[in-house]
Amino acid sequence: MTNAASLWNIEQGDTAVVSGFVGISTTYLRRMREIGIDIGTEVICLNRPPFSAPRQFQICDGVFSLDKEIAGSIKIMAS
Amino acid sequence: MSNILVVGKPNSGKSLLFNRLTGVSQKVSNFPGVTVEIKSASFRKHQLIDFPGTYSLDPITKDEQIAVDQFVESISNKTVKGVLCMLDSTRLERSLVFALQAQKMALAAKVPVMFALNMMDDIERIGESVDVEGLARDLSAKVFPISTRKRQGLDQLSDALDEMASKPATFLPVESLDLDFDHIAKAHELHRVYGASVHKLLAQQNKLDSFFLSGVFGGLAFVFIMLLLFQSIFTWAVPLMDGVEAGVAWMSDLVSRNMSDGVIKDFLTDAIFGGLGSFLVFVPQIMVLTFIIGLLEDTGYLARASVICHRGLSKVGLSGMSFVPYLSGFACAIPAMMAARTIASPRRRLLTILTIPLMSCSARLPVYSLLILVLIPPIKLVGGILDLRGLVFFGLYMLGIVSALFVSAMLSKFAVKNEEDVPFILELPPYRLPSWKPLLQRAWNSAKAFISKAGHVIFAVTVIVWVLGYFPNGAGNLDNSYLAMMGKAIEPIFAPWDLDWRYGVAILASFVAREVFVGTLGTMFGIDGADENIAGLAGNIQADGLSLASGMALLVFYVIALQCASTLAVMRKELGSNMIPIYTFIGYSLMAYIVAWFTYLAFV
Repeated sequence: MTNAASLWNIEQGDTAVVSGFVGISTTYLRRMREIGIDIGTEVICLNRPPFSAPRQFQICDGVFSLDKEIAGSIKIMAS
Repeated sequence: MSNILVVGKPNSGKSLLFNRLTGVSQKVSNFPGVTVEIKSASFRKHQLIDFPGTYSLDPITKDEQIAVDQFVESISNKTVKGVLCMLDSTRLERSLVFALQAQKMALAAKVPVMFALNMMDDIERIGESVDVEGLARDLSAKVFPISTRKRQGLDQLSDALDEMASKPATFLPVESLDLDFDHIAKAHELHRVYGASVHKLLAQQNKLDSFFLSGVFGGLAFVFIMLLLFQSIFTWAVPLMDGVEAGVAWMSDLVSRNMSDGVIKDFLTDAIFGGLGSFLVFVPQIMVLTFIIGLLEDTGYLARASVICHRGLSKVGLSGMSFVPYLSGFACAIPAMMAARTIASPRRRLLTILTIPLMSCSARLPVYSLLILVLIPPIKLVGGILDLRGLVFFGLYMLGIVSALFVSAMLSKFAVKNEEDVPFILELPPYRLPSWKPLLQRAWNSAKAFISKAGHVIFAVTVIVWVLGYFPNGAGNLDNSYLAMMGKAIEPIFAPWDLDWRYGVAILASFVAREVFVGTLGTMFGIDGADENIAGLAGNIQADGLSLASGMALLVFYVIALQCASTLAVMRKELGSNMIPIYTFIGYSLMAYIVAWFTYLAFV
């Protein structure tokens, strides 16, 4: 397992487990939990478009598009 | 009257259910955040109130704030007899996060809650199931499996809703519930125990996303879809436009042949058929535009387009979430500004609202179409796939978009204060086949709304223009009319574009509403011309000798100028400022005039 990487860094098709959050306000931290991103959640990277465009992640029963700012703040452990 | 509140997470099908149960035709779409207003309508002897979707009772966007504030206020109102909570069976865990919060609040206020488990047809299609009884047991409430799209389970749900609103106490849980739970953890657990596995659905969605969101193909698909949108406005609408044109000409001919000469006949042929008639010819294009935008929303493509645009838009101070308000702006700026409530960042929302008026709304469409018909020959390109007029049309829309991006970039750099930004988080809805009937209904409604909204204004202005243009010398003497006297006084304003007083009058009149331009010109050419084929206004203008340079200047002016009092009023309301709409109006008017002048110089 690799520590301290962010969700932004995982490769297309890879699965990772959320290990923590850095620099996210309380409001957005709550929203993260509500959309299913919590410590221990498995996340799959579905798509990494070029030019730093938002990336798509499968989180529980939904697909979300997250930009670099938020995905970079979600720390993961590769599973 | 007893009220029933309809709540749920975004894109869970609330508005379609609301439409099905009440028979109204509120806008629905496959994009999170389409309902940004609270709507109500009669359902049997009750009132159904549809709230904007929200992921939580802790809001982060303005539309969520409105929904939550109103829900909190309503739930303690004695007229509220029940809450219908929509659950998306394909996104059960996310739906339950909000639903459990809503249930907790409702039960604390002694208001019963029932659940509608929507999109069960999708679950059945992939051979999965939801344990509805188990879910109902754990929720201590009735749960109805339904498919609003396929109208399945709606009768049972309607009867139960009616009963709940009539006898609310019987729908409250018999035993008092423990309301002290973590709604996120409970949602996860309920989904794990009773929910369906949606991997097959997600796999289908991901396969399409890998194409539509990929770098090269996704970008090309986006450009192709947008090009198709504008081409089709010109090509698909042609048969309908021809039909309306022929109908107006037929009626005009009928009136001409059966009425004796005089003021009444002149008024009917010049003002009614010439003015109003030439405006009606373009209504089919508005229907086609609304239909295609609805098609893109219904299929779920718009969310993907927002993602594709996000990076580029964020460079000019906007967001991918600005894309949908922008696209809505092609139909009308008013709902578009309200759709901007889904943008969480106040700064990006402000920039979006300020630049929405540069999106070419449907009111501009008759002006564009008329001038393109006058100026651009019908040349087929790429083996007949493309049409030069369609391309120019696309170019005008692009000019509006580029202007909006330019203005946003400038304001972002120099005027609108920078602040801590908010992240981009967007749920991608599943791809769905569109619901054709609501889509066609929406297109039809857009035409009706456009005619009723603009019709009064156009009629009033047309009558005034006709009276001033007809008197004192009657038909064929426009140049010596009261209108000419007034028009010649303002002629110098538009002289730099080489436009005579008639165009000046039409431009000034169109500050009431843009569409008035066509009706006003139609009336004036009707009074002046011997040609009674009033639906052929484009031909009359061509014969009159409008130059390419002047026509292009006019087109560019209409792309930029903000000639809509309603837009300014909504801008004032949405931004809570009196001065911003005034500055915006002055700024865009000056910008339109100057850019139009340069355009004239470029083409002359």
